Amino acid sequence: MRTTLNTIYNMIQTNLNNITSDMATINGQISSGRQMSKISDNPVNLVSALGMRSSLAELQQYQNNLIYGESLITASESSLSQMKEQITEAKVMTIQAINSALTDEDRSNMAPVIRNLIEQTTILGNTQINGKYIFGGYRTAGYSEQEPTPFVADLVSDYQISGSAMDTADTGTPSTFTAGDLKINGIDIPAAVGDGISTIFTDASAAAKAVAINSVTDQTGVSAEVTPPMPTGSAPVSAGTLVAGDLVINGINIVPGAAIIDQDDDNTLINAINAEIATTGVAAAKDSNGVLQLKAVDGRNIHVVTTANGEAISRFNGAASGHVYIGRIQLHSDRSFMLETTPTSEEGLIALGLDGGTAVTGEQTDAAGDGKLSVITILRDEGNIRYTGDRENNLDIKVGKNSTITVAKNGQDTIMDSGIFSALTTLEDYLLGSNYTQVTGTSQATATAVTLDSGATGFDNEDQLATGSFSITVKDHEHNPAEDFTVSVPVDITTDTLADIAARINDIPNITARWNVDGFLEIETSNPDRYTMSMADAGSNFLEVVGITAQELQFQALNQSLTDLDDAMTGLTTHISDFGSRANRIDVQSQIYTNLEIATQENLSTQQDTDMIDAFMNLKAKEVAYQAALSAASKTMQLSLVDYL
Amino acid sequence: MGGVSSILNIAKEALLAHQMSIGVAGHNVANVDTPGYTRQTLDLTTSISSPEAVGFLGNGVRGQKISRHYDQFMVQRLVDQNSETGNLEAKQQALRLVETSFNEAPGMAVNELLSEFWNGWQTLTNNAELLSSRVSVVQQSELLSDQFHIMSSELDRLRGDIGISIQSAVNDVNSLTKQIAKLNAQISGTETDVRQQNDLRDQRDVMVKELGQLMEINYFEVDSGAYTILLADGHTLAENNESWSVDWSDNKLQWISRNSEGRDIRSDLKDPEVLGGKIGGWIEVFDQIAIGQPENYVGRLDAMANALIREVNQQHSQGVGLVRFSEVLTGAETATTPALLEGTVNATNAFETIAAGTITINGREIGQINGGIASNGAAMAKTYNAAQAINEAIAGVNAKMTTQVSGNAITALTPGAIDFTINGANINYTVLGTDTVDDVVAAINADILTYNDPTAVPENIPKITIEAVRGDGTNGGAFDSIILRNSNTGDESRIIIDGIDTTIASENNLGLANNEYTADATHNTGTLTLFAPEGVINIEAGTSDDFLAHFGLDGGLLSATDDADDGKLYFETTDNTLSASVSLQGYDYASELQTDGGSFKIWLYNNDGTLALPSPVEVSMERAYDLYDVADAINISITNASGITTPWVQASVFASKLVLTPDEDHQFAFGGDTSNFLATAGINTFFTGDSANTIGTNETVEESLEYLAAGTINDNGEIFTGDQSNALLLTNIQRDEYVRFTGNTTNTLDGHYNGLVAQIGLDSNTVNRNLESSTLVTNQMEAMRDSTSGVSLDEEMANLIKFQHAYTAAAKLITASDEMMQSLLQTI
Repeated sequence: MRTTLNTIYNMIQTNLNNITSDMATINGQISSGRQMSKISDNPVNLVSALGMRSSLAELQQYQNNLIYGESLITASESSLSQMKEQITEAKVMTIQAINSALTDEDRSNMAPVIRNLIEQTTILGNTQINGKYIFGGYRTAGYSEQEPTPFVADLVSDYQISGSAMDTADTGTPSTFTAGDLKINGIDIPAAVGDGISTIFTDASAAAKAVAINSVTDQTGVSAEVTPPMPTGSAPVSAGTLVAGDLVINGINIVPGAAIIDQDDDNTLINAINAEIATTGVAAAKDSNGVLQLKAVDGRNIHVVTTANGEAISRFNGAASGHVYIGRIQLHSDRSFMLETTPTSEEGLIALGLDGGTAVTGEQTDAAGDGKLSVITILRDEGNIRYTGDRENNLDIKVGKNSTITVAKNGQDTIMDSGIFSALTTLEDYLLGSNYTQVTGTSQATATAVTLDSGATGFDNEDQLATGSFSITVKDHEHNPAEDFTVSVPVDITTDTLADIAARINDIPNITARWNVDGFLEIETSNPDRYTMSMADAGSNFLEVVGITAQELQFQALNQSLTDLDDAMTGLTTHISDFGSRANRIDVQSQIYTNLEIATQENLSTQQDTDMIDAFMNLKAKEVAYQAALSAASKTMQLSLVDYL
Repeated sequence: MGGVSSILNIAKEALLAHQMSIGVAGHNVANVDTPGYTRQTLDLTTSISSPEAVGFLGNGVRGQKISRHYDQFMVQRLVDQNSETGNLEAKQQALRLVETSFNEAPGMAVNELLSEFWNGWQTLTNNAELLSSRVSVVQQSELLSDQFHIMSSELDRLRGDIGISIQSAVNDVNSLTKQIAKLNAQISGTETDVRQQNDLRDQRDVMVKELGQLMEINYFEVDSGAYTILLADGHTLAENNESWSVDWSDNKLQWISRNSEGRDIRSDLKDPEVLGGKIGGWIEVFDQIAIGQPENYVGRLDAMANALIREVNQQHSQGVGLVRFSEVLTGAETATTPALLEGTVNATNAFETIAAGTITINGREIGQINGGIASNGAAMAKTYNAAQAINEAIAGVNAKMTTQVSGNAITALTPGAIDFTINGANINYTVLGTDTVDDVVAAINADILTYNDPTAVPENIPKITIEAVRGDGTNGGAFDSIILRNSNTGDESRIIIDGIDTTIASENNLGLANNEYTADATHNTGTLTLFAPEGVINIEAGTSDDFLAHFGLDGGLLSATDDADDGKLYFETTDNTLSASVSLQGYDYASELQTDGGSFKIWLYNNDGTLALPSPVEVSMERAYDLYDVADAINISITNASGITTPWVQASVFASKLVLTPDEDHQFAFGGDTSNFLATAGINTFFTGDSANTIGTNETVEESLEYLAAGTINDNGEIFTGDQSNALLLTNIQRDEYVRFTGNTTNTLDGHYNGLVAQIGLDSNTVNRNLESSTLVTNQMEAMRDSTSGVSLDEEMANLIKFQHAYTAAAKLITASDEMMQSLLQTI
């Protein structure tokens, strides 16, 4: 084949070009450290490298998440462990307290220590990491002035407002609400209609209003509680004799069998009224001055009709008249809420006794006549601990495509539900000798249907029983401040049987009493969270004889506290071990991801990084080839016939 | 008999011949580097000999012909090869630029930014209460959006650049064809059998080669010596002294010829692979980055951004930020007025199937539209098939049907009470013995009117935009049947008939059956409604209006530019005859809307943060057709829930956007959306836009980071600062394998994008390799051509010496004959 000048030139040019461009590529690979400088260099490798790069970024993020999660778990674990120590301390204290050698004073001196433990526990519950509350659920921050931290001392358990009690002549028209008068959170409250228990004004009773409000609780989030009417006389009971018609309570004539003495010292009047509780639904009590107090057992109205004589003796109603006493309505909600009624006339608010712009609600401008009332303040109740955080959710971290690990739990599930605060606060109360909720007598009765003086009751010291009375005070803690109601229980050893007295105690609103099968008297409040009780003998020695002494009451309560503290401890332990296992999972996960990260990094490196040794060898080879090509070319070009002409 | 003078003559001829040989060799040497030059040699031959007694006496030498050492086959092959190389070179050049837009190799492009975007969200889940983590999410989103914008605008610029390259190449083609035609004329005009225009031919071959580089051509030489040049698909570029031109306009390459009246006739040169050459290569890449093609690079990049925006927004709109909305909230997306074209599908030829590709809309071919038998004068099945085919073509046009239910023919009405519901509206009527179907239809319409009464308390929503008509055998219902249909065109909302008791004769005999009817192949009006949010419906269907007539779109009167019987229909928003203002179809993400049974929730609060209503207001999107329907639904739902006639949050429509305005005493937040309306309207969303060049962060979030919805409102309407729930769900999108992309493919977002990068990389890589081997082949072929036609200097030198010697020898002959003459003369 003829080889012409152009052919040779072209060949030399092409080959040199190839070598220089190869050298440029290798140079680029060496200086950038990457095999590929543009996507066409090795598309297959590049795409797997892209996948690995994003996996790597993701893995690193998961590692960050795990580190962050571990800090929350460690903090939660240590807070809960410290809480357990508080409980242990409280248990030691309680065991010491259950010792007859100690005086009441010694015990009440222990109460501040328990208060300290409560405060300490509150602080632990409010543990923060990087400014976020770890026991707040999703409410890690964003607390308000009213609710400054997840666990707040001295707050009652919810947002609430109490209407005022009302009374009216039985010829008057007590206010109630009809449809359209009242809205709560924008929802219309249906009309209050007859409660079926009151003898008069059944539409206006607290019970009727509560039923109406509670019928839409699902929508409003607001529930109504009734505080029964509790009217008192204007002065101590005077001596005299009541005849039929002189004192009529809820339609029942109160006619005591004997004359009434000053201040009703022998409880004749009270006993006569209480004898009708089952029919009237009204219990009677008197204060230390002998002033008559009535209380409905439920939300019904108390209708009292007195003649001049009746008034003169009972000192009730203030005059010879018929009068109706209407209970109060208390509204509760987890959240702040709003009441609305017709402006100016304010029927709805009047019906609840909240009109006039004087309600304590926290509404900055609780104005009379504006028809609106928002309840945004939480009322304070000394000693109570409230959880204000998120009750439903726990904080998670993302540790995989669709998987998460819970790293912080809300304070409701972990702390409140363990019962640590209620165990400690009741313990404090018990040490102070107050707020008991139940007691069981220690003396055994063999027969409860015999009179007390029969000698057949089976009590060792039955002979100490005397005609007289004892009193039981019930405290309603849903009220702010808590409301006391003391009922005196008469004891007539000649006529009363043990069963009679138990029934009488049982008639006291919110107290239940019974002789159990073994013959011990059990007394408890109907709702230990709301009602507590205390009791005192007044001449009958009844409590002493059945074995309910002050110390017994306290010791039983303290023993209860021990059980409560153990329960709380168990609850916390469960959560601590749960956190422990989560910490483990995080460790394992973190280990897995570290390994994965290393492996991916290595893979990625082989896919995209330059193999330097290889690159240098290649470069060297190309250099040699280039030099060889150059010298060969120059040799070829030197030879030409032209030179010989 | 020849004398001395004849010897002299021989010598003279020889001198001249060898001198010419030297001249030819000199020409070769001089043109050693001339492109396309073909080596020439002087063919020598003996002169005619004279008869002598002893035989024929030679009369010396003479030059016969200057011939080219020309290899026709190799030259043709080289032209083809050059065209191949040119094609690859153009592609390589353009793809290199595309590659730089997708520069994933060094990192810091979409892949990495996307990773960081998701990591930003994950960090937010850990610290939802920290403003700093919110800032970083928004910053990452800005970076990501910017990267999309950069890529999009670079591809945009590249599209322009390639256009310019194509334009200049087209100019070159036109000038080359003209010159070739001119050379054709010169060559055929001046050549004889022996005298060839060697240099002109060389020049022409160079031009042909250049032309071949630009476009693939076929050529052949005719008897006259002229070249006839054809494009690969057969269009003529040059013939004798005539030439034709090509033109690049409107992003299309066209071949122009002139008809007998002197008018230009243009025909499209469509397939870039057939075109070949540089122009073909450029057009191939140009098509990959052209707008409106979901399958190409740009389309797939847009699909990526589109899916990202959709997925993030749909999740984001379910959540809540740190604070409630207390000021005017305007949707970020606009319900632009779409072009709205309605046509009744022809029932007469409803059974005819239209082949795939017969119709194009906005440049996209529509697949096969199956025919179907018309029912009672309405081509329901074909309407359904057409709507499906058009929607699948992704032509920027949403084809919709209108729901219609037709009952059985009523033979006789039974007197008595009828009591049933249509979409919740009570229909109560007592059929009388004298009643006709028309009376019942009127009663139904009257009851619907009553139901829709805007003064009713409480006002009913949704409004029942359904009308009853009597079937007449041509409107889709049997004669004397009851037809219920949506009164808005292209409204596919369901129609629900309930409460018909078949045991009651008067109700049973209405011919209606309890059911929920959605627009399908048997429940539509036979009318096809096209919505084009971009404002243009450009239909091309053959050369006559026959195919348009299938859809009732023939006649040439539908738009300002519509000519009769040309098979074309160009329809713009300004041509709308039906009101399409603020139609929900005008939203970018209109196809995501779930109006049947979909709803969203609004929580309402007082200014002090307490709930104004204890549960959220649920706004049903049922039957929503335009934005006013949605605004009404919001306002009425709120007033119905609050019982107060002025809604606490007033919804209105401004500039085709939904605006929510709370009064001074109230605030609001969103609690879940099953209708996708919020995401579609840009309310409580994270991104705005719908493609790579429009993606951006919603201003509401950008300006107030508190609105970044990391949390979810809980059942009590509480909003917690540390709520991470929505952000956690949002991060799941990163690895979701079922993300939908334009064109109905599913993949992860990463997978889709990486697939695109791989495609571009592979395309470019293949071109690079092919070009490498093609260059090698070219070089070899050049060498082969040169082995015949190339000038070898050594050879020419050798020849020169040879010719010089021959010349010297001839001169010697003159001396010899001179001496002979002298000798003779001396004898005298």
